[in-house]
Amino acid sequence: MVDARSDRSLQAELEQAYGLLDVIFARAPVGLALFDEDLRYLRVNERMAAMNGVPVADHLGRAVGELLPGLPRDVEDDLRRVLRTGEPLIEVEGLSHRYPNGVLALEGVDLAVRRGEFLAVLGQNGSGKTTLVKHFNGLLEPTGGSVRVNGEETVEQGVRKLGQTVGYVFQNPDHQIFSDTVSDEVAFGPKIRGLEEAEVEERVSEALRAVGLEGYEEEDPFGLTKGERQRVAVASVLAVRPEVLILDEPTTGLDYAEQRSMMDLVRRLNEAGSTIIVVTHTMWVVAEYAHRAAVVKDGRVTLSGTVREVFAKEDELRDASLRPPHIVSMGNALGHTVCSVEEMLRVTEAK
Amino acid sequence: MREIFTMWRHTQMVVLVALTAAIYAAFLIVSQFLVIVPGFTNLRPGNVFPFVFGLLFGPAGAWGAAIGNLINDFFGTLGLGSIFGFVGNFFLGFLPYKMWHAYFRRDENMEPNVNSGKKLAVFVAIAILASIVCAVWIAWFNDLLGNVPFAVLGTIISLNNAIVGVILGPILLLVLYPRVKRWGLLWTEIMEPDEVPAARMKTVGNVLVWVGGVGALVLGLILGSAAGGAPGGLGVGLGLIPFLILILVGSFLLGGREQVEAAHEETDTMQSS
Amino acid sequence: MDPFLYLDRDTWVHRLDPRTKMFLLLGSFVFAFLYVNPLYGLGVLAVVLLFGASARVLVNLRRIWFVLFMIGVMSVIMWSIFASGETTLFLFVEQESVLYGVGIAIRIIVTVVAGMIFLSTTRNEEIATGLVRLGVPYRFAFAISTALRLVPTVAATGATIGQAQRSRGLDLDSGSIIERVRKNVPLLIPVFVSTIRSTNTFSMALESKGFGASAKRTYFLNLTMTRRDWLVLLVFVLLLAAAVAVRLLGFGGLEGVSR
Repeated sequence: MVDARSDRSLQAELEQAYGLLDVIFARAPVGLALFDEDLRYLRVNERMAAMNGVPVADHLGRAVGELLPGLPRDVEDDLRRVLRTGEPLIEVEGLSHRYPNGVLALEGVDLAVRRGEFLAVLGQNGSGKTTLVKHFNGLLEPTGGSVRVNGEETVEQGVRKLGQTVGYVFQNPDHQIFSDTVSDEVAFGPKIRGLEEAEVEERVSEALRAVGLEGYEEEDPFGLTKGERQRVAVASVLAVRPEVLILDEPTTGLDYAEQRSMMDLVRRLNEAGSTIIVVTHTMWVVAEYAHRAAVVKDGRVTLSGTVREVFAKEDELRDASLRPPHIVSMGNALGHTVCSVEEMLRVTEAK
Repeated sequence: MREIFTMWRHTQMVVLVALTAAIYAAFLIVSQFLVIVPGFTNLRPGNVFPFVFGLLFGPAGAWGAAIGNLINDFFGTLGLGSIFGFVGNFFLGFLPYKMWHAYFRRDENMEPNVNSGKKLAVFVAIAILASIVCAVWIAWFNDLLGNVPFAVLGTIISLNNAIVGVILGPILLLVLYPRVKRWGLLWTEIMEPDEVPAARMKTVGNVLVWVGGVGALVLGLILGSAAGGAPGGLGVGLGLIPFLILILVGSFLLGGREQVEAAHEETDTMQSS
Repeated sequence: MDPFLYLDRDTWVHRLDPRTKMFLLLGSFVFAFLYVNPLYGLGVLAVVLLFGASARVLVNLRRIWFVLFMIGVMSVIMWSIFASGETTLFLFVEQESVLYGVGIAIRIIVTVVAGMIFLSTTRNEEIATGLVRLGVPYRFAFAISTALRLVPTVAATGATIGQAQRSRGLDLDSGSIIERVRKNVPLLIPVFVSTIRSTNTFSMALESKGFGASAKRTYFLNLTMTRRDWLVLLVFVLLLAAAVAVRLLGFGGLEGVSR
């Protein structure tokens, strides 16, 4: 499968440039299909069409899931996720960090965060996971190794500049709220970066809409509920339109419904194009929302890969003092890693 | 001055003393890295807190400012001068709430939420005076001990506190007042009118504090500067005492019960309507 | 990061009653202020350092050496300018005033080091309980010890808040003095709010545990003045008396200085 844009002219360009594609499609002894990032068929060969039991012409423009209702949705979701992610946005090589008091918090960490993906950084308290992500927006500088964002070293860029690319939402919204009104609070980031008043207003509306708080402009940020304050915090980071959004333990202090609500919001942001990094040890959140996971233990990344791959390795997770959600363990015991109860149902009830 | 003792009956006030002291101390300690006259004073944004604490939390804020400064001294400069560091910072939090009501008539709104031109002017005036009084206490004692010349500390402390107080105070009060009120933590609402002495000749008290504070500063600067050529520290040490007494007397006269009554009236009318 | 100076060692100084140590601390202030002459001052400093060495807490000097250094420098400069003497060294700086500056610097350093030794050998709980046993009202001592306990927490919160606001673009290093001071608002307000917000729950928790219900309360820490405490106090008072006598006999002063 080849990752291609659905833009017609680009596709035409591709077809022209890779005229070989015609040859390959015609001659290959296997079924071949070309998808766009939404898993819509762009092109199929005869073999593929035969396998699907649908005429070639009927494939064009239709989604895989639509054409093949029997295809397990989890596989489709994974496909979708892999297709949508792009080139590495953050590159970590041999990263070490030693605190001024001598403690070695990170040692030899290698990691790549790709554009558009939803990464979970997992680990117990004190494992170094927060130390790791604080390098991404320049709050911490490596004492060994390198961290590059958009190809440039973080030490060259500095916190101020990186804040434009990598937004960091801290765990406790009360650690940043200081304004009289919600819109003042959200406007802080854009204003400080010197944007025009009209632009700032637009960003504020956009950000509030994205977090589901439109109409809250004149509200007292200190008087909102914890979940609402958290949204305000996310909105104020979003207003700067960063490419990456880091959320440190976004579910802390929220009840289950609020946690769901918050994570659904985060997923929406990811689907709209933001690269998301969530630092957490709440396993069901990772299972149901993240694409890829990196497990941190004692300052080292001991496991990384897709969530499904990582959750299949229960022994290594246990080593890192983590345990997958019960449904995942159950799936593992049955031989297939599922990520949620819904998925388990889908897989077992597949018609 | 009775309220600084009666306040201890209220658990919330006790807690506020601890919390305000911790906040003030934490900020002071951290800004020990921005030093002007090392060991004695630094340029610190945290210096705005005593004014805010005093206006919002009354006597609890005054104690908190004093204790907070003492704790800060624990981290390097604990010495005999710390005694008057305690007194000076106490006044930094004490005078704002004591003097505030002296500028308003009974029927005017005297809530410390700096949202009018008059309130802003009153705040600026009080902040400057409180800074001067704080400086006078500390500089006087350190000069008496022979540690630091009055002129040095007197000016530095006055300026440090006044500058920071005037720039940051109004903004902070504007944002913090409504929330503190909503949480029910204003001193005027926690304490009872009979726990606070009534003002006797509050205008006189007001004037006395001004005369005492500014007078002490001016006299100290004149006596203590090299150009004055005064024979030895005792000139400053003794010469300022009358002014210090004026400050104390003025503070006694100021009372403060009116604010508590006003606050309680408001809640009563709200409850009965 | 532990901002407190307390070092957990088991020395005879650590085992002294906190009240004894408080008395020694206050006494050391008197000791320090007896002499203006730098030579005598150094003698007092030596005694204090010896005391600290036997408590094995002099390592903490590392944390405050810069403060001490600056005190010394500033004191010498200030008094060289503001005081006048008889033998001119250069311009308006006289020998006596420089010496005076040195003497004052040593004096201040003695008190600071004494304070450091006190804090390095006495736990916060001991300070609070000691105060109460000396007659300080319980609620007052409680406020002090609670504040002490909370300082690291508030400081840590402040540090996190600083990081959070910096991540949003707050730049404290640029702009005029006024601008830079104003930029602290996003730091000051969240610290205030997140701390003060807990007042009501804190108060309720205290009252539910009977805070202030009765005038008398019992303590976990039981302080007793041992024979060693009284002995130490006696020796110290004798030393102090001797030092005062020396001073009264005319030694330890500095001739020719006026302010």
